[in-house]
Amino acid sequence: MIPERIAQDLIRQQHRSELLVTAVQLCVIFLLSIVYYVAPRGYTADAPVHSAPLGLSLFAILVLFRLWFAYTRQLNAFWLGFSVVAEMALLLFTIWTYHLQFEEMASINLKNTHIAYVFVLIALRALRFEPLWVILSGLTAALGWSLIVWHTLYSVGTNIITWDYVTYASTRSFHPGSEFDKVLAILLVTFIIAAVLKRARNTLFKAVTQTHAARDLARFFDSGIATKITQAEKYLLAGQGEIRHAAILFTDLRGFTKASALLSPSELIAFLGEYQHLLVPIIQKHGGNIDKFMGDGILASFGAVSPTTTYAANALAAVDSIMEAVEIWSKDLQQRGRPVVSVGAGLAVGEVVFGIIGNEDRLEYTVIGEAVNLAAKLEKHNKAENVKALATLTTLELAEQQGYAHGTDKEKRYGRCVAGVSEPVDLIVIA
Amino acid sequence: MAKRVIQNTAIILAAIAAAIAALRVHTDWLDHHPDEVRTRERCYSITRAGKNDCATHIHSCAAQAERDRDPREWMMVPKGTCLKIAGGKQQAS
Repeated sequence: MIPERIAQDLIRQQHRSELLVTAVQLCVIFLLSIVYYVAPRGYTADAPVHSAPLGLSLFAILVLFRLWFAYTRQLNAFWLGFSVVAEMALLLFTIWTYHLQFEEMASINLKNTHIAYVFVLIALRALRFEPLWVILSGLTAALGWSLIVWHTLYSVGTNIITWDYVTYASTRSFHPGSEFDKVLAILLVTFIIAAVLKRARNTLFKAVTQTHAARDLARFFDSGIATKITQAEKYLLAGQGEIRHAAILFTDLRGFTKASALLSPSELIAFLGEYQHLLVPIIQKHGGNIDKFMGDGILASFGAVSPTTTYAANALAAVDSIMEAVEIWSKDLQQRGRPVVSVGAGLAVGEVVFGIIGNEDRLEYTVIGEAVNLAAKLEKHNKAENVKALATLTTLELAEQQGYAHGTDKEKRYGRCVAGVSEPVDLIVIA
Repeated sequence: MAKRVIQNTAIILAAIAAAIAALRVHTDWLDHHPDEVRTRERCYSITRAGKNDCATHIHSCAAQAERDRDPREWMMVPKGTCLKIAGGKQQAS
């Protein structure tokens, strides 16, 4: 069973196909009209029928008629079937009128070159990806051509039948083999296209389903990682990893635990959503990738998913923007009478391994390394330093080399003991 | 929805009207004849070689008559004049 939204997607594709068919037909009508008006006439002005303008104008009417139903999305099976049969019948009718236009024996209809358009009409129906309409079009054509053949023999008589090809090709005669050829070719083309469509339709169906699946799953990943997964040339396996110079940012919601006691579960999730809506776009705008959400914490990496030469500068700029945005947000929270929170951030740079962990069925792209641990510890260390955002001095030095320019000098604190880190660390206070 | 029904009816009627108009202009089936036919007539057996007007069963168009006064070749003349011309016939012979 196809989910509703995927069925909708298929219907949208059919709708576009129908408009495409109409556009192609209108272009051909326009082109043939130009040819008609430019080319010299091959018949008298008082001929009982002027086949080309008659056929072209009736065809234009039919196409515009169908366009109305297609455009207003009323083109149901009945109207589509009607127009498929009508367009083929009209083409063959136009071919049939040629003997009237030239005031000739009906046998000249059999040599009409417009039969080539029969194949064009059949093939155009393939754009809808539904074998039924191709078959309907093809069977109409085979039946219609048989009628033209029958009318020829009926009106001219069976004495024009010849099995001599040269006689057929050069006189007003009837060659049974040639007519058999045409009907056979029409039927073969019809069934070949129908068979191809049947296969293509399955592929299309799978493609639409999988595109939806990929889009659904991609929402659970960072966009950079989603692209990396869907465009991977090799089958992804755990254990594939690359060494990257990257900046790692840890953020955490301060006062969240206190707030969570006051809020209902859905309010809590809504509150978290507000926070993530605030931070995620800022991180992404600065070229960062969200590695994971951990409750109220966010782990983001800069330059790990795809290498950059400005990762440290980007990360510092991101932290600056985050701090500014959070300032405004907490004022806003205060005005709304909501629990006031702030954001703590820890930033470190270094060599990390960016790779896939997990087992065959449940994989995860992540960053692993000294810098990741350090960033997490710095985030916690904020409390000890009584500040909001800390980074290593190395980060600032590297960022400045990479073109980071900040309005005010960052306060430097040398040789600090960070819990869980054996060596003293030189820190800078971002906020 | 009623509005859509009215629109559809209008479109269907317009399509039928346009189809009838096309048939009227491009065929003589609806008893409509262009001026060419109302004021002029075909006259056989009087054309000079290469000066015929149009189709016969041996060629499709003008100026292909191979000899003078071919009884199968014709030209358009003002209505009523054909039978006044020596040898002029209204039917191919």
